[in-house]
Amino acid sequence: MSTNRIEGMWQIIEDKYGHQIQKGEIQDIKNGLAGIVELEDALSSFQLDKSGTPPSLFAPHISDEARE
Amino acid sequence: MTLPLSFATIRQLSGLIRSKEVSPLELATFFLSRLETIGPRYNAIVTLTKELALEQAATLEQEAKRGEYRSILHGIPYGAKDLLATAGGIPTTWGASPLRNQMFDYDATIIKKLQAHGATLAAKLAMVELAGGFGYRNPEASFTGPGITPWGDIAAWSGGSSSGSGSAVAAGLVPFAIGSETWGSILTPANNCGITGLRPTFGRISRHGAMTLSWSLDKIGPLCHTADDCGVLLEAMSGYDSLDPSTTKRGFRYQPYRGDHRFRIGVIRDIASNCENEVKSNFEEALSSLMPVADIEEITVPDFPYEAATRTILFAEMGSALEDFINSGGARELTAREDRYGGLAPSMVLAKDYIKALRIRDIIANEADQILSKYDALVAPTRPTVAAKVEGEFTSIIRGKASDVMGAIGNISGLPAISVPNGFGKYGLPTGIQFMGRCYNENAILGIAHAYQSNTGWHQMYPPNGNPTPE
Repeated sequence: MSTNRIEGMWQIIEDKYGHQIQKGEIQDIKNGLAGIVELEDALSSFQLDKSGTPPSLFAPHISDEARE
Repeated sequence: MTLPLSFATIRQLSGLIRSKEVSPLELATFFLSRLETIGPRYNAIVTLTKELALEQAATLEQEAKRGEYRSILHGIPYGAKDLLATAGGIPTTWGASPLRNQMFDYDATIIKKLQAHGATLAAKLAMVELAGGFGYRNPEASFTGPGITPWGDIAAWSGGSSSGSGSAVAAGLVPFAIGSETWGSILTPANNCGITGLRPTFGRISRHGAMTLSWSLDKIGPLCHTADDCGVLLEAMSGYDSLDPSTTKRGFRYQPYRGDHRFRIGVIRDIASNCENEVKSNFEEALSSLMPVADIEEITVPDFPYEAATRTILFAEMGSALEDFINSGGARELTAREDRYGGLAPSMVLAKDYIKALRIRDIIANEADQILSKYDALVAPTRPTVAAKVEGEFTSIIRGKASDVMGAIGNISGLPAISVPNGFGKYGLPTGIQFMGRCYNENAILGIAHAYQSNTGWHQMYPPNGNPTPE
């Protein structure tokens, strides 16, 4: 499964940036993609509740209680 | 003059200027000379801004003669990481060879602010190319050569990505420097160079005119000789900027610690378990020396995907911020081989994973805030090891395999942290201890760090390779 995901992402990269990539770099890029799959798996295994609280996009949460 | 000028603190230098024992022009000339002669040894400098510094110093000298002082920074030279835009034909290279002639027609807000406070820009300082976002694996990843710490029996890395900011302060080439941190880029050079580095709360300091690696993770902060200097600088550098909507409208007033209360400090269980022996023993010794001023308790943190969430946000935002650069083929001209293609895989982070990471960020930040509502700071070794050898290969924090739970929690949550030197490890290289505080509560961590430095002398040790010049 992971191999398919890595190959799928590799195809996208090759289509767009293939002209920039040298042969000896392909395996290293695929290793990087394996890292992306690991990230995805790590996030997937973390269950979020279904509450309606929206995330504070683009800014870390800073509590109103935090004081100088 | 008995005070060694090259390693004097901002307060000390300011005192000398006010008492007219040294003038702004003399100070600028002194540090420019050190930058010029010693800087190349550590690959610390990209551009010496000699003309600008002397011009600014001449103006400040006239003001001082009239008894006019802009602030405590009046006449103090400094260096800026070369990702901060500077006008006047001074290049801003982002450490990247293809951008070595990049020019801006404006100054970054922080450059303007420091000028208004009377600091003189003496040099644009070296950095890891593109702030290390493309996953460099060795210190060579900069077109100015590997950043080298002035410490150690071997040639060792000054740390990244604010490599020149770290080594320039450590070698006494400037009294302070400005760096930036997305994840580790201020604290690591502070650790490797045996100096003090402050990562402020997200939004404290304007990033207008700074290279973007990650909009929601990038912070700008000072590297200095002492925590007290960091406090002085944060007060000067912080504040709302309409050109950076992420800046807070809360002001910051530095309140130096007067020894009038005890601190509460939390230590995450087993936080030093994977550290080198010397790092671990220095950390334990530092905790002991804090006992007179602090109550220290062991704590645990929930099992959240701290690093995966932080890395996902970083990769997704970097993929967007540097998309044009990658598309243009500019990456092919970068110095480190792995950086020439290292930006491609991270750009494959899916939108749903980025959003999930942002949702997890809220949970992490809330949890961190809850924990820190009970403590003035969490404490940990700054890095698990001493600096890497210059010729060696390592796993960077950003790349994905190195573990840094404190860094992940702190950076994803926008928490302030300060690193101070706490001893030496292998090869005579420095180690550091970090204090991480609640958002907007820099005074607490500055106070703890100042209390620690008041009881120890690590911050007053200067590298033998720094070769202080006769003064």
